[in-house]
Amino acid sequence: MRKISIVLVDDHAILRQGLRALLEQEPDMKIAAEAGSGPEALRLVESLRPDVVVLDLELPGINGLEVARLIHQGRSQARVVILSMFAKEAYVGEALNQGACGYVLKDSGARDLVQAIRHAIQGKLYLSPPLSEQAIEAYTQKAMAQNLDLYETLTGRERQVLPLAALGKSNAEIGEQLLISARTAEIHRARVMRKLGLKTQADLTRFAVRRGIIPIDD
Amino acid sequence: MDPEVYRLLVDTSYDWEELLDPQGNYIYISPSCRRITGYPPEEFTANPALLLEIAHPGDRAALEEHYRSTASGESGACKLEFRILHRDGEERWLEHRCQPVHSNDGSFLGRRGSNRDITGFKRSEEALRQDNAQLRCFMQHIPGLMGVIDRAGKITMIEGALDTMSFDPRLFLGMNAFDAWQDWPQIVDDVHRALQGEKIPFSTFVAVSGTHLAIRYTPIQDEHGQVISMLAIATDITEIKKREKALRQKDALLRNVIVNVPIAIMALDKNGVITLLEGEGLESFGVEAQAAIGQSALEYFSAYPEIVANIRQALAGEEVYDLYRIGRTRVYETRYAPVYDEAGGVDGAIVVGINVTEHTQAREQLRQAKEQLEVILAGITDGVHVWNASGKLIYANQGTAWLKNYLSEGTTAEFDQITEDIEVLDEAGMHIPPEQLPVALARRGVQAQPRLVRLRNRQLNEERWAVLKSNLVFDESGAMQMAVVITQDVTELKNAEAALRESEVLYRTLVETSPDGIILVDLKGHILKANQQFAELFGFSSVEELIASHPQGFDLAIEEERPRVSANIQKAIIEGPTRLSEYVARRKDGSLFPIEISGSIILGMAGAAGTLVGICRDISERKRVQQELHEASERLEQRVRERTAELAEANQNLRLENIERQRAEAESRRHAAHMEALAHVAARVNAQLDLQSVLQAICEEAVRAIPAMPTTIVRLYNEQLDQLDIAAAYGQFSEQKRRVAAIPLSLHNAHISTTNPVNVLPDIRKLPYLPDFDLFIEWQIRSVVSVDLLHHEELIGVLNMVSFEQPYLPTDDELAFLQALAEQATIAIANARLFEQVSAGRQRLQMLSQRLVEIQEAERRRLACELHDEIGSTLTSLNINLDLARRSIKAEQSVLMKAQDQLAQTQEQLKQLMQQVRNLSLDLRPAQLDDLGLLPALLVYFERYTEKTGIQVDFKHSGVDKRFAPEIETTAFRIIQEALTNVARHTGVNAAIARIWANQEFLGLQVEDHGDGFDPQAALIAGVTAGLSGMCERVTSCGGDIEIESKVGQGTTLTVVLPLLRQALQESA
Repeated sequence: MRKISIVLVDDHAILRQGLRALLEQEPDMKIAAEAGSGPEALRLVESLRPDVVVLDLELPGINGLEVARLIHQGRSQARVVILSMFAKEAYVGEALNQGACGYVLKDSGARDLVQAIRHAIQGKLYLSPPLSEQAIEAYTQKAMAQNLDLYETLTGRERQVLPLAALGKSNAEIGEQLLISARTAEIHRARVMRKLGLKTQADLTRFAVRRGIIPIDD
Repeated sequence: MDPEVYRLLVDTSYDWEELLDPQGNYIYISPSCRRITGYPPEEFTANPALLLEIAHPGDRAALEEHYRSTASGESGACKLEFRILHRDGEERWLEHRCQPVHSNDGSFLGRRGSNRDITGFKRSEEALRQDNAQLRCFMQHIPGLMGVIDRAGKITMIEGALDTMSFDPRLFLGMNAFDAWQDWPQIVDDVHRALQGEKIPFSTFVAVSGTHLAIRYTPIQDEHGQVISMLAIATDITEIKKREKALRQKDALLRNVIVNVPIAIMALDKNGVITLLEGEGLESFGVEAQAAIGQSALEYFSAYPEIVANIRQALAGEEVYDLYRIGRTRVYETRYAPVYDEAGGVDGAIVVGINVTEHTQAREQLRQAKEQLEVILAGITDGVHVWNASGKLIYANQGTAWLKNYLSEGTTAEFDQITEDIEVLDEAGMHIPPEQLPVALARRGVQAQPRLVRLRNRQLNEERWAVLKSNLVFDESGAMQMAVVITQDVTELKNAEAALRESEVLYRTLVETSPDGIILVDLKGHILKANQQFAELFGFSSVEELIASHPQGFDLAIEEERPRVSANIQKAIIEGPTRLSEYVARRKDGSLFPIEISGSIILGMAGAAGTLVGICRDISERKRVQQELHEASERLEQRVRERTAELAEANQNLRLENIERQRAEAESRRHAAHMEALAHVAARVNAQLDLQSVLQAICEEAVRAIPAMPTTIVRLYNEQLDQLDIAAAYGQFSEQKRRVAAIPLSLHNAHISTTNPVNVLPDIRKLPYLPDFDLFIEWQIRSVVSVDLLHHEELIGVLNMVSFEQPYLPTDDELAFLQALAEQATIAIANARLFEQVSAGRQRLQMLSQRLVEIQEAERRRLACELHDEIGSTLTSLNINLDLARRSIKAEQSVLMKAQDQLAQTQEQLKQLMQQVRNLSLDLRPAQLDDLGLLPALLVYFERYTEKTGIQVDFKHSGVDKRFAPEIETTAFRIIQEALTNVARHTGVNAAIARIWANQEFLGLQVEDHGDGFDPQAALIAGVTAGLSGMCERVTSCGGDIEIESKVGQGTTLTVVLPLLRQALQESA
């Protein structure tokens, strides 16, 4: 019976040792090689063509995510299982994006890693509990959502200045109306423009009209 | 002979040989029948009637008849020609010959026949016959003769007729030509020559009847070239000859006409080729008639585009009329006419040019004459009206325009109607009946005398004086043709007369009533007239009395004056104008008195001086008054002179005062300028805080103050080296600055008085030689001013000014100003130095604090890494080992259970330891920030924050899903972290809002809570929160902007904007 050949990549020899002992207990697995850095890992994958690469994210040289990406894009058919201390969806999502097909947390049980490797061989995704695809999906949603309305970022004062400035009033006029100095009015106006990413008075007026802050001229 | 031979003979015969039995059946038929008929002998044998069947229907009857006649054998040899239809469908002619064959005993055996194909022969015969018939027919129908004469001269054929021939030419047929026509040697000769083989294409013969014949002789030769006969063809050309003659005559006539009238004519064929060109004036075109004929007119006249255009038009079928001018006077009227052939197509063109120069000139002269006359008539003021015999006005000029509605040009009304508007009155104002007027009289043929009338316009109620004159024009028969009536306006004349009369009365009155004496004398001085006043002037009672005693007017002056009188009169005659002269005259009583005479000359006829008029006035009284006036004036003059002298003195005093005042003013102005300049310097020098700018400004101002010393150096005291370093230079030294060494203070003090801050070396060259001045001499420095810059009594520097080549001694003013400037400069330099120190200190501080932040971050990162990587990995490894151990333990069930429990507990503790280590690492510095960027790091952070504090973070972002520069990411992360930490620590709320947004230029961060709020100003000033000021520090070091909006009880909003562009700019730099 052909055994699953595995390359272990971690910069800590002690950890690699532990992992080797763990995996070699499995009758159908063998450790083809160990690597302590990104470049070394890539070289071994290229020459040994292992079935699975168990990859730590924290690596000297090239970080784990980048190594995963290069393996995935390279000629090798090796499946990548990430072994990480980070239980954060941010990492998991990123790792999956880079082509990893398993994400195992270092503090979860040994069974997790074995299971992840078996899944990987069958082309299935495995995530250590408490990670879940739903959680990752939710995270991605959260990260991707462009949910900020720039108008929200304006302070109360700025919201007072905005319509007046949009109507073309001078700083002095604005200051007089809001009982602040012209200089202060100018600073508020500049901040409004900057926060909203506007360049010209016309941009400002257009924004105000579009948002219904000032009425459209007849 | 062998019968086979006979058989062979007949079988190969070309003709169709046959032998028939008495019944008409074929006994033998030769194979040639196939060639001739297309049917083989067998068919004829099988069908004896075949020949009849293929015979031409027209010949069938004849053939049947032949069969019938020959059937008995009675008939002998016979011949028959008939047509058959060959099997190929063609018609063939056959010549059939046959004869009966009898046996020796005379019994009729049948007929032997022979058929020959004569189709070719028949066709030739037919063609010949047709030709002959055509020829004869032709000759009979044309007006000509044709004859054939054989070699012997025998006329073998003669055909045709001539209209003019009184006999039938066929009379000559068979006669010998040489005999028959011996009277016409020309013909005999021609015939002879033709029979010799000569071809004579054209020979003419005139018959007695006048008929013209053109004869053509053609020898006819046999195939050997032997002349066998000749053919003569004569055609009647009488009509042609006649026409030719007529044409020649016409041509001659035309030429004659053309040559003798001023006309040029040109004929063109349809291609534009000139066929005729004749006439007068051609040479002026440069045309040579003979050379032009046969050429294309379009090319020949190519130098005259208008002619070419006209020719083209004419050839296109359009008639063109054109006036063509040659030079200044000659004018040709040209007409281009197309010529059409019978079919109506253009067949050419005729161009006729008629010299109309004279005609045009005459017309022009006439026109000019008329114009002149009209101008004259229009110009004269008299009204000229011309009436025709029937009383119609045919001409009127503008002369009577003065009288509205009266006979102006264009009036067509009859006179009777006109007089309705115009009333004609005589001198006395009596109405003159119209029939008595010259116009009416003229119409009756009566020449009236000129008559003075008054013309009154009834409508305008205007009246004019006029003299009416009339002139009648009669034709040869004596009938009146027209009447010319001249109306002369004499109103002005009449008015002038009246005016003259009036002025005469006026002048008489003037003379008589004038206060002055008026006298008229002739050139010799005889008194012609004088008024009463004149007489009284001289003490006479009347003019008559005066003239009686003094007929000579000049004698009224005293003897001494008389030459002057006549001299003045002469002068007046020559020079003209009126003169005022004074003389001394004597009265009747012998007393003398001054008299003033204004004299003038009245010119007589032709401008000759005629009469002298003198207006005389006694001026004794005036003289006296004048004398008095003169004396008074003298007195006044004297007084004025005295007064003037006084004034001059006062003036002088005033001027001196003025000078004094101006001097004072100048002084004050100078002072003001000095003050102003100083103020300017102070303003300029103190406006700068940068030391170099301050020094430069000082130098410039110094040169402005003393332009004669165009170079300035500022040296500053260097305490460490105890020397004066060059700090700034202006003018010539700015280039040489580097070569100017620092001066040790001791050297400076050696040459400069330390007690006086301002020192002047007026001329280096006049000083005793010192090696210290070597450089000065080399640079041609002459004068030096040195001003110490003293700050709190301490020398901080020196201001040096120099002049080159020429020595210059500054004025006291300049030195005073320079010293003032030096004081200002000292303050400015001290300020600048102070500012330099302050800003350097601040910069250092900022740098240090930034460095501090960086070091802190690096340290945290290192620690976090250490915790996470080293300790974390070791713990993980331990965990794995425990796992392995748990699996590998083999013992009694109870022992195993216990051991397993213990191991599991240990492992649980280990996991907790790992988690703690990880959290610690994260708190120090989240690895995500470096690995994944700001957004993931914040998401992780918010999660942990909520876990730890229970405060929900409402996170909103836009445009930050990307990587920023590491400093920006760190700063942003730390600010959010700090702000949220503050929220947790100070506000007591359970929710906060975090907003992050970015565009190309900025990254914006905002943390908002609805907690208690605080007074940010107070907080910052009091330095209450290290977090807040740390935040400010971070933001400032990134060039960002922080804004805290908070009021007690109203929550807090912290906004930070970090510029991205600056970062990018710095990176690219």
